[in-house]
This record gives sequence, C-alpha cells and structure tokens, in this order.
Amino acid sequence: MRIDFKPLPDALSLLTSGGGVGLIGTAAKKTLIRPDDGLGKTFMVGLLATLASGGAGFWPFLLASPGLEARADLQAARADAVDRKF
Amino acid sequence: MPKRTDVDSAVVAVIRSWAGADDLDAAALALSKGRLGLDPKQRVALQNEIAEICAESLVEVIAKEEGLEEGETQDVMGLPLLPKQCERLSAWVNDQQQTADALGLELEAWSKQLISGMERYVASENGMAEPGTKRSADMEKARQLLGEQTGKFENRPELGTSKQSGIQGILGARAFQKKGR
Repeated sequence: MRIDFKPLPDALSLLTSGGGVGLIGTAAKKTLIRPDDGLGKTFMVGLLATLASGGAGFWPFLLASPGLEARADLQAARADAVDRKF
Repeated sequence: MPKRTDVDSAVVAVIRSWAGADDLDAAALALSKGRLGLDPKQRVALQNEIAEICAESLVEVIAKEEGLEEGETQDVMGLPLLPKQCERLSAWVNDQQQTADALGLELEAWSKQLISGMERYVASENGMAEPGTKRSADMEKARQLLGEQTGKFENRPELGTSKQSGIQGILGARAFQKKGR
C-alpha cells in the first residue's frame, strides 16, 4: 500500500515528538526519506527541517502572509533609512 | 551619520522611488522599472545600496518598540522575539524574494549581497552605535538573525544541524526550491 507523503503533518509530528534542534534534520531524513524517494521529497523534508531549526514558533509566521501593518512598518523603515542616507 | 554624496544621482532617484512607494508591492515594481533605466555599472551600485538599506531596515525591524505588547516570545535562531517582532521579521524575509526579482538577481546571490550590505552598514554605523547601547544590541541581533556566509545550498552541512545560517538558510532554501532542484 502506498502511503502518500504529507510533509506538513509529518514535520509537525517530528517537532512535537521531541528531540533537539540539532537532531531534526537527521531524524527527518531517517524517518521520512526512503532510498528511492525523489529529490523533490528530499528537498521538502530538508526545507522543513531548516525552517524548524529557525525556531518552531517562527515558521508559522514565515509561511503565513504578514499583516498589512507589518508590511507598512517595513516600508516606513526603508523610507527612514533612505532619508538618513541621502 | 553624514549624508552620502558619492552615489550616482540616477541610482539615488531609483532608490528614492523604491523607498517612497506606498507599499512593498509598489516598491518592488518601482525598483524593477527604475533598474531598467540604469546602465550595468549603475545597476551594481543600486544592488549594493539596496542591500545596505535592507540590512539597515532589518535592524530597524528588530529595534522598533512601537506596537510591541508584552507576551510569550518565540525562539527565532537563538533570539527571543515577540509575536509582533516575528511578524515584522517575516515581512522582511518574505519581501527579499520580491526585491531579488526586481533587481534581476537569483535569491541566493541576493542573500549574499545582504550579508555584504550588513557588514557595510555596521562599518558605517559603528562609530555611532556605542557598545552596550540598545542600538548596538539591536544591530548584533540583526547580524545574528541574518547569519553567516555559506556555500551553495546543496553543499551545505546537513540541514537542521547547529550550523544553521539564520535567515541565509531560509533564503537559500527558497532559492533551491525555486530552481526546482
């Protein structure tokens, strides 16, 4: 029976099952990657491990669209930086 | 910090149109259009200046206290950040794709420019940011978040190890994903 790979739930279960940040990549590969898996799946697991290592709490912010206020804050910061510079 | 007078006026005009746009999407469009009117040497200067300004805006994003509310922090690459800071940081990270596209650069190449831009910004601001001040601490946080120069994404150390390269790792991963490799 073929089991479809669902990267997000599988990565979440890895994060909630414990293990230090430094083990996420190794654990992810051992658990989720079979020798005949394609590069696409290998990459997805690696990407999620990379994001997880950035801090499990951060990547939901990264995956979601930032709010208008946060985007406006960034544009304002740029405008201020340019005014100071030139 | 004294104003820069050594940058080509045509480049400054593009930078001002980018920074003065109404929102991030309009900014990317202004940058893309403005870049097309520059010659190759001016485009290199534009990339360098935009990278430095993006680095400075990363510091500002970390430093901004307005709108922050007390609450639970998230660990982001070793730094505790409040939800509002996380949102602002993600806006910055997500915008780098648009900025790289507008400059006609691959995201991985742009991420390396950002590192260089941060170093130039720190070198220029260093005389003004006294050690032990909040400004100095915020600059160090931004540098830590941005991470260090690394090799190509495919050749980096095993993903998820303690040798993570901060935002560089995220941008590199996105560049790798975009190439479909």
